[in-house]
Amino acid sequence: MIQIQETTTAGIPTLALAGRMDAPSAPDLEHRLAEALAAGRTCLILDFSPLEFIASAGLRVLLSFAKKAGKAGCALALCGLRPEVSEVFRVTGFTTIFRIHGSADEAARALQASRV
Amino acid sequence: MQALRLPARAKSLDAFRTFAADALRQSGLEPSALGRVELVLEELLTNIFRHAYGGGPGDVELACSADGGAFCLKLTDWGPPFNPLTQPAPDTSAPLDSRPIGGLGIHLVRHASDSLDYRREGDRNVVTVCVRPPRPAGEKPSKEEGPR
Repeated sequence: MIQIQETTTAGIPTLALAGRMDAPSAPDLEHRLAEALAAGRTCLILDFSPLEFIASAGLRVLLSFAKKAGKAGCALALCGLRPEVSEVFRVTGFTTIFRIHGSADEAARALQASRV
Repeated sequence: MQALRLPARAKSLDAFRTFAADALRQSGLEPSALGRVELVLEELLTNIFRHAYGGGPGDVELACSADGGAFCLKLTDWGPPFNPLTQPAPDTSAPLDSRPIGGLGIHLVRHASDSLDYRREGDRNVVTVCVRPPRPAGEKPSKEEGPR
């Protein structure tokens, strides 16, 4: 199960991802992320702080989304990874693919700075 | 040794996960190992669901045991011989554009586990994976263990 709540951080659309990013929840996540791109977002923060678990099915969705976002000109930033999630990112090299910040505020500042 | 045998399909994942979590709790081992146990279980099971029976019906059995301070999962399927551990390691330093989608499951299992083994036993594929919980605070590491 994954719950996705959309808010904004300093005006930047932010999706808070709560629960589990696993095989059962991957289709849901994929659908919600596709919606965000279809809405024409030029930047997006993915807030991982309420995320408890991630497996390769979640990584697959994130990677596919990152490729599409890059092509669509949507800048991504991630924030708030818990230690176990962070470990999965580290061993798969996802830390080098995504821009990862401590908090949504830091992610927003980094995205704003990169737009100038 | 406790075991659960169910059809090899996505709907069975939850029941297997609950079964493993209960077995870990009953083993008396450190519950902080649960995250890694859930990760290796999901990766190995989804692999079996996808590949073991080529889309046809079949079962998978999970047996859990506590073995010398480690929590071990033994997964059995009755599909054609298939060793998931022969999969080549992914290039985890490749940039976004050249990253293939997928192929990370077994890589994650290797990292999250302390031992991982495949055997063909008669008409079965048997994968055994063990996760060693972290030592309780204050306990000294034994000599065999190197830095992680």
